[in-house]
Amino acid sequence: MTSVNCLSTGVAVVKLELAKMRRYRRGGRTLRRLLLGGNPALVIGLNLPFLVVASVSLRAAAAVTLELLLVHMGTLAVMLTVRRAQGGAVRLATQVAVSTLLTVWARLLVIRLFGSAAGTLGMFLYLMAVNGMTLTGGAAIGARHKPGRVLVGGLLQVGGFALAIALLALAREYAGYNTLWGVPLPATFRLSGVTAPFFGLILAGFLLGAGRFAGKAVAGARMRERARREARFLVVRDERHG
Amino acid sequence: MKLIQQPAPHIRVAQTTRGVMGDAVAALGFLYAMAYYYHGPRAPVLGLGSVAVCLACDVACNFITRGGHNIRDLSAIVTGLLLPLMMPATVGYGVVATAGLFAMLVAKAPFGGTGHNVFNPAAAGFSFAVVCFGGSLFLYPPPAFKAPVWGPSDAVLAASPAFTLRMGGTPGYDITDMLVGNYPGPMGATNILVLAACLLYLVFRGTVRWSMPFSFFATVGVLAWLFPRSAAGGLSSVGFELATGLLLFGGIFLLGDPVTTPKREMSKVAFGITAGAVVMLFRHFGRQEEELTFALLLMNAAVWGFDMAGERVASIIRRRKRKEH
Repeated sequence: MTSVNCLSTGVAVVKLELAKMRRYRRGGRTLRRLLLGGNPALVIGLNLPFLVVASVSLRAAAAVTLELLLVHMGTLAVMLTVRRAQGGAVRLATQVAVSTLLTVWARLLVIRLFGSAAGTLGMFLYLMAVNGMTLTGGAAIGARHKPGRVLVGGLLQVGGFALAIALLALAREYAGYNTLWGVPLPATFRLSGVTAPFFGLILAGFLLGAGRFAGKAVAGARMRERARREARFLVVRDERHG
Repeated sequence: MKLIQQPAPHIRVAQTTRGVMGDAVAALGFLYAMAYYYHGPRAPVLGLGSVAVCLACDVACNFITRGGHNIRDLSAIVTGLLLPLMMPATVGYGVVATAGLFAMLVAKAPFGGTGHNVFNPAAAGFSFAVVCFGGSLFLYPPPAFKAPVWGPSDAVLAASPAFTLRMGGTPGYDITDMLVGNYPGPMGATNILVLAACLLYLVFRGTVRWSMPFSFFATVGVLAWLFPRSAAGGLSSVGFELATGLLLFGGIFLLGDPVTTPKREMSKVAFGITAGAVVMLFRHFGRQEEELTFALLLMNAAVWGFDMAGERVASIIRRRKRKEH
């Protein structure tokens, strides 16, 4: 009896540990997926025009990211309260109205903080009202979705966009203007073509390729490590059984 | 035994990529010889530098893709040789290197390498250099100026006749000068006689089908005659349009790329006609002095349409022939 109790307790402990590990892995997978493997801008293609146009300088990139954060999170928070509203058209109209109001306010804030760098973005500061990430995110909120998860997911999406635009802006500002955050830096060459929109798309494609390459390499290494561990375990079991 | 009577040559060999590229390298060698005659050793050194950059990129991409491409097919060498010939003799090595890097790393490798690229790498590389370095690529040293291999040159740079045409004027060079390349212009695009000889060589070797360059030049000629840019008008305008800028060079070496052009004969003719019209549109309304490479990139993006249309027409013709029989 005692040995059976010990066995059942041991199995329960193992199950609890496995459940914890699964939650940890799922959370880690979600983070990795949204930032890298499922990056909303690079992989899914949301807000690509903002990514391409605003990534000519770090200051413009920061301005767009801040505006996106305010508009996206504000809209999601409001849509969580109206998710039970009847009719998709009412919800969509509400969502666009809310995001437009937030855009007007966020634009003023962003121009005050970032000055001319934000001013160069022109109509893209207004277009944030109907950006793809907010439209799809708001429309996807269902009655059963937990508010915490929706908001955390929204934050991760903006984080993924911020990562992508930061990398692009870093490369384009240095190569195109030989500056970083407006501070001149020593450089041996200057390629003004890098600041053209088509090059932003090219760089985004390269970033996506690099991310996939890195993801495959990491996944391959993890699989090899797991196989090595399991092989060791099997060897141990064989030794025990003689 | 069945005997088949055929004209010479009687030895048939399969055409390989290496053979096609080898012919292009040989033709470009003639142009480099003329460039060396006019501008000294800097011309072939620029070519060697560009080839080195393109080959290094090809090897690196081959390594990353784990041997997916064959670097011995000479395609990287052809791209490397093409780029400096489209530029002035006094162009910086950094400019040529930038164009080569863009050509290989952006226009060629990401699409799958030789045989899979959508855009002509040399045209893409030169277009990127124009966007980055702008007007400095359209100022040329005089023909007899021997540029130093290293360091800055003290040449008095001048615009080419293409700029004069763009401004609505008439170039002040006579036909003899234009035939032998005795005027400021891109290193490999000024000597009309040598370019014509290169075209004949490539057509004779079967590397380039005659239909596409012929339809291209014919369209440009007709449009230049109908809508002249220069005050001279008529046949003079045709001569100036064909002889200035990169038109002849591009029509032979860039338009003749077998990868980025349609496959069927009728598609090639249609492609050549459309390319000629687009180039003339760019020349009339474009911002840059030399717009051929931009027009060519636009046409490269539309090759699939020409191929599809060609296949449809060919299948209609085949069906009709079958019905008749």
